[in-house]
Amino acid sequence: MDEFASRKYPIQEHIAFQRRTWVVERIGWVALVVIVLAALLGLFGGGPLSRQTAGSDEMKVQYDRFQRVTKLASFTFLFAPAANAERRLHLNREFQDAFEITGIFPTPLQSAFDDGGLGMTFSTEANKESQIVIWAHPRRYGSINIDARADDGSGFNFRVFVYP
Amino acid sequence: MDSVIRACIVYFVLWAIIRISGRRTLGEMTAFDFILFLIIGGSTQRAITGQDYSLTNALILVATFVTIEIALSLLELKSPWLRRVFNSTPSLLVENGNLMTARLRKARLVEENILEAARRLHGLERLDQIKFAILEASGEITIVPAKQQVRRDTSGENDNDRKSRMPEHGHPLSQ
Repeated sequence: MDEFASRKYPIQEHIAFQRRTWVVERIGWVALVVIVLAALLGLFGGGPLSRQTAGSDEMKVQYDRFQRVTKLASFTFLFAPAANAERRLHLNREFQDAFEITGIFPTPLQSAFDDGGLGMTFSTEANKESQIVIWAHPRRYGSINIDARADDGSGFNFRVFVYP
Repeated sequence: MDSVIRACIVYFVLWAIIRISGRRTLGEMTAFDFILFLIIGGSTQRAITGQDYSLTNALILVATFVTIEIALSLLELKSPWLRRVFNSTPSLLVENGNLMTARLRKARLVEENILEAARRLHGLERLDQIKFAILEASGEITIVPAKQQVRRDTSGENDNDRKSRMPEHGHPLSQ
């Protein structure tokens, strides 16, 4: 009797079903490996595929393109040297809505809601590159469109995806 | 609302992963497997509760899990197919002493696994003493011994009392 024929005795077998199960099992294993590899590469945040730089020479931001809800993330803003020692950074309302900011370093001299978003003024060194780091927890999942603008109004958009 | 959705997602994702890992893992659970399951439980626990440690949330979660369990058991009663999907199906591994090697390979088992079950459950030593070995839906291997073989080994005893075959009790007829 063919090994893959269903027996009726001593048990009622469903070999066709069982074989399908084995196939699904193997597909599942491949899926698990793909998930682990994707995680290693940073597709779920924190890895080479995730870490990105956006912006121009005047102002850049380093951030994680993929983030996870409640997991602390950093946004590092880099300003090119300028004559003015005070820098302004403006972030849109969507950023304010989606992130619970736990730290801004250096602490802004002034922080206000202006121009429909979060406006911050920082004390920096004139004629030197300066760096501002914002630590924040994403509070909602999905795609978040962030708009960042510097003093002179130059700015850029970047997008992060937050996993649930 | 969040808690119920979370609980449902975690329930079905965990179920799918455990099902994918194959019933071998369930039946043949080693000490390390047990620890692994504890870790799996621990890592999903936070995802389920989120940052809400309230009594209400715990109640909602427990109610959701138990509801899913009950609903599934009712559905399984109605549909044999669903029963197979959720609980797997038994299959034969040894038929009249013959190893079904292709099936063993698919189920990620080897001859030793069957012999081990035979020793553990019936004190059998060889494959030809096994009439049927069945991989049950629960993931355990059960053994049906070949009747003639058992009689010959007990040399004339006609009772089925396994104690009399154990050496430490001595052989009743030889005394």
